[in-house]
Amino acid sequence: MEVLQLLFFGMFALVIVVSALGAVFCKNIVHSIVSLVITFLSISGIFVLLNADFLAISQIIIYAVGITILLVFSIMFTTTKDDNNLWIAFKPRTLLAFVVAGSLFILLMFNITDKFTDFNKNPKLFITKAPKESTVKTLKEQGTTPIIGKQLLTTYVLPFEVLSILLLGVVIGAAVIAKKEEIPPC
Amino acid sequence: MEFFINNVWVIPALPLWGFLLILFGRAFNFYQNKYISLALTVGSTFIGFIFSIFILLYCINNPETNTRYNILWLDAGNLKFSVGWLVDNLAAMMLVVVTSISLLIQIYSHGYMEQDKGYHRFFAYLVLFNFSMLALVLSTNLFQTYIFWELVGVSSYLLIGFWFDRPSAAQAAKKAFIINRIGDFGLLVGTLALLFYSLNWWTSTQNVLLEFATLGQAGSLALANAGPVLFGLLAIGLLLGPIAKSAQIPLHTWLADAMEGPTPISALIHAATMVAAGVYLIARLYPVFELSTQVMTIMAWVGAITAFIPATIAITQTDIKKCLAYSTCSQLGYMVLAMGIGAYSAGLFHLMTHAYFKAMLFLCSGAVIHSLADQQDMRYMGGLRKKMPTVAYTYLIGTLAISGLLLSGFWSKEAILSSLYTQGKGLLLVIALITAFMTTYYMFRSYFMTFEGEYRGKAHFHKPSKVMTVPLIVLAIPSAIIGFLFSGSLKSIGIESFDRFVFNVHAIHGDHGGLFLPICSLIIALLGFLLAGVIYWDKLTSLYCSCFKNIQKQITPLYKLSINKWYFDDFNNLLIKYLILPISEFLSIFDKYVIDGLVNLCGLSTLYKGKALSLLQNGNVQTYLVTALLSFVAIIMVMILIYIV
Amino acid sequence: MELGLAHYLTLAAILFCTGILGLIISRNIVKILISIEILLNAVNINFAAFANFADLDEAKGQIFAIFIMAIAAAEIALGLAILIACYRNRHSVDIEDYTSLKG
Repeated sequence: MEVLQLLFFGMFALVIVVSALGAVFCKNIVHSIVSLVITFLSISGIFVLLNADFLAISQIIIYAVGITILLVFSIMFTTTKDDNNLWIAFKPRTLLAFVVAGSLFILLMFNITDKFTDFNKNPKLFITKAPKESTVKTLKEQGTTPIIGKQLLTTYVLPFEVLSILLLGVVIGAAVIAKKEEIPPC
Repeated sequence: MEFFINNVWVIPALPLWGFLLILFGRAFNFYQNKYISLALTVGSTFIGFIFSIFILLYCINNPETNTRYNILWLDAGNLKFSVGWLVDNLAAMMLVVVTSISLLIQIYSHGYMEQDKGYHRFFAYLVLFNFSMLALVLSTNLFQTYIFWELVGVSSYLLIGFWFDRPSAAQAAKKAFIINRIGDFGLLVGTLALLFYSLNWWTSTQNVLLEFATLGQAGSLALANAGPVLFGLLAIGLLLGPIAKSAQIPLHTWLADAMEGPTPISALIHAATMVAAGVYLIARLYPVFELSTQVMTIMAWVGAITAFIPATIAITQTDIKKCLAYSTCSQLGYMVLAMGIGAYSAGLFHLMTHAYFKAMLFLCSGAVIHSLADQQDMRYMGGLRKKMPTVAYTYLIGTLAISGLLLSGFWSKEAILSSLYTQGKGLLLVIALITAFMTTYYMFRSYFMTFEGEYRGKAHFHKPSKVMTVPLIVLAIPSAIIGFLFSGSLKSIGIESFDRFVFNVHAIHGDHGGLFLPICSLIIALLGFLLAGVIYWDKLTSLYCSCFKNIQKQITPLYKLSINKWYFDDFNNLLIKYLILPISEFLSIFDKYVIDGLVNLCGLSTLYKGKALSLLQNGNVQTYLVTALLSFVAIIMVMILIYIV
Repeated sequence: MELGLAHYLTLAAILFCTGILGLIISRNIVKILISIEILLNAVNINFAAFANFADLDEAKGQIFAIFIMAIAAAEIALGLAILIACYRNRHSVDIEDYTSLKG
C-alpha cells in the first residue's frame, strides 16, 4: 500500500512539475492552457492521495473545467495571431525572477527539510497528529464530504454566506466591466 | 490725546491697507475710477496727518513723552526680535513732517500724473512709500528700522524707475538701488557687530533687542568689548547707511540721477522725506556715534565735503531738477555736518525746514516742467513769472528760504553756523559759509533763469491747474515761517525753541547771543544774490559785461570740473572697470567652477540616484512585483539568519 | 521511504516557485493569470497536506481550500473581464504596453 502510494505520488508530482513548467514556458498560449489542464487534473490526484476526495472533485469541476473554459474564451476574445510571439520577457526582471524564485525555493526547503539535514516524512517544524478512530471509519465509509458539509453549515456558515455574496458581486461586476460601452444616441 | 498716542499704529497701517487695496484693485474694478485711488491715498495720509498733529501737540505739552510698545516677533533662542512703535518728540516731529508733505504732494500728484497711464500704479507706490517711511519713523529698534529702511529703498527704486520704459529711468533706479545697497550693507554689518559685542547684555537684561532707548548703554558696552578701533569700524559701518541714503560723498551720485522719476517723487523722496531718513537714523543712533570722537569727526567732515562739492556742481547745472538735486545733497551735508559736530537739534531743525522748502521748490519746478511739456532745461525757460505768478512767487519764497535770507532756512542754518562757531571749528565754519554763498548763488541763478528775462523756449505753455498750485501755496507758509516759529523768539506765547523740544543731553547748542554771525551769513547770502543777479538777471547784466568778461576764460578748468560733477561718475566707472570687475570676474569663475561645481555635484549625484531609482518606476507591474518579492525574500533571509544565530 | 508531509510541501514549493517565475517573466496577460492559478493551486496542496497530516478530524484545511477555490474562480472571472475591457482600449495583451502608470 505504502509503495503504491509513493508510486502514485511520484507519478503525479512529476506530471504536475513538468506540466506547470510547460504552462509557464510554452510559447503558444493554447499549449499553455492544455498544459495547465493537465496540471489541474494531476493536482486533483494529489488531493485523492491526501484523503480529500471532495476537494479533488471540486478541483476538477472548478479548475479543470470552469476556469479553463473562461481562459479559453478570453483567448478567443483577445488573442490575435501576433500574440503568439509573446513569450517570456527578455528584461533584467527575468533574471531577477529566477533569483527570486530560486532563493524562495531554497528558503522553503531550508524550513521543510530542517536546515537541509534530513528529509524525513514529517518535518520537525510542524506538529502532526494522527486522526481518531471514528474519523478513519467515517472516511472509509463516506469520504470527507460529511465532515466538510457539517462544518460549512455550522462553524463556517458566516464565511460561506459572505462567499456567496462575493460570488454574486463578481458575476455582476464581471458582466459590467466586460460589457461594451454603449454610445449614447445623439 | 492719549488716544492718539496709543493708536499711533494707525498712521502706518492705513497706508499699508491703502496700498493693498490699490494693488489688488484690478479685482475690484478700482481702475475704472481714478478718484478711488486718490481718495484711498489722500485719505489714509490725511488721517495720519491729523493723528500726527495731535501727537505733536501732546509732545509739546509733555516734553518727556517716550511711549514704547513692543510685540515679540521672532523668538529664536537668545535672539528675540520685536517690532513695535516708539513715540517721542523726535518721532512726533518726523511724523508731522512726513505726513504733511506727503499729503500735499499726493494732492499735487493728482494734477501732475492725471494724464499718465500708470496713475494707479503711481499711487500704489506712493502709499507704499508712505507706509514704509512712517513705519521707519515709528520703529522701536534697529532691527525693525533696518526692515523699513530696506522697504524705503525698494519703494524709492520703484518710484525712480516709474517710467521704466525709458532706459535712463531704469538705469537711474538701478543705480540708486545698488548704491543704497552699499550703504545698507554697512548698516547691516554695523548692526550685527553691535549686537555681537553686546549680545549678553541684551539677552540678560533687556526684553527688546537693539532698542533705541538703551542703545547708549549697549554702545558703551560694545566699546569696552571691542576696543576703540573695532568700535570705530562698527560705527563707520552704521554710518554708511545714512551716508548712502542721505546721499553723502562718496555715495551721493545716485541722487541726481534719481531725478529721472516723476517730479512729485523727486519732491517727496529725494528732497523731503527719504533722504531725511538717513539724518533721522543718525539722530536715533546718536548715543552710539558720540562714543567715538573720531567717528564724529569723520561724520562732520563727510558732511562738510558733501555740503561743498555738490554746491559747486549745482552752480553749472542747466537742468532745473538736477540743480535742485545737488542743492538737496548740499543741504543734507549741512545736516550731517551739524550732527557730526554735536549740534544734534540744529541738524534736525535744518532737516525740518529744508523738508518744507525743498519740497516746495521741487513742486514748483514740477509745475514749470509740466507747463512746458516736459522741458527741464533752464536755458529754454525764462520770463515765466508773468505767465505763472503763483509758481514764481512760491519759488522765490523757497529760494529765499534756502539761501538763508530771513525766511525759515535762515534760522536753521544760523543754528548750525553758531554751533560751529561755539565749537571753534574754524575750517568747517569757513566751508559752511562758502557753501552758503554758493547756495544763494545757484538758487538765484535758477530763479532768474527760469522766471525772469525773456522766454527762450519753443514749447507751448499751458497753465498749471489749481490742484497743483494750491499745495504750493500751502507749502509756502511753513517754508516761510517755520524757522521763526521754532527759533525760540516766540517763547512768550508758549512755543519752545526747537532745540529744547528735540533735546539730547549730550548735544551742544549754539548761543544766539552774538549778532556777528547772523549778519555775516546774511551779507554772504546777499553777495551770492548779487553775483547771480549780475550774471543772470537782465536788469543787472549791464554790470556783468564790464566786470566779468575776462574772468570767464580763467575759470574754465573749474567750470569743467563742476559741469562734469567732479568726475565722480567717471571715477566710479574706472574703479569698477579696473578694480572691481576683474576681482568679481575672478570670484565668479571661482564660484562658477569650484563652488557651483561642488553644489552641482551634490545635485547631480542625487539626480542620478533618482534616475537609477526611477528605472524601477517604469510602469510595468511585474517589475514592481519582482522588487517587492526580492525585498520579501531578503527580509525572510535576515529573519532566518537571526533565528539561526 | 515513507510518504510524508515533507514530500507534499516540497511539491507545493516547486509549484509555487514555478508560479512566481511565470508571474514575473510572462509577457502575455493571460499567461500571468495562468501563473496566478498555479500559485493558488500550490497553496491548496499545502492546505490539503496539512489537513491530512495534522487535522483530519475537522479537516479545516480542506474547507479553507474550498474557499480558496471559490475566490480563485471569482478572481479569474474578474481578471478576464478586466482584460477584455483593457483589450478593447489598447488592442493588445502584451503587458509591456500597459505602462501608463510610469513615473
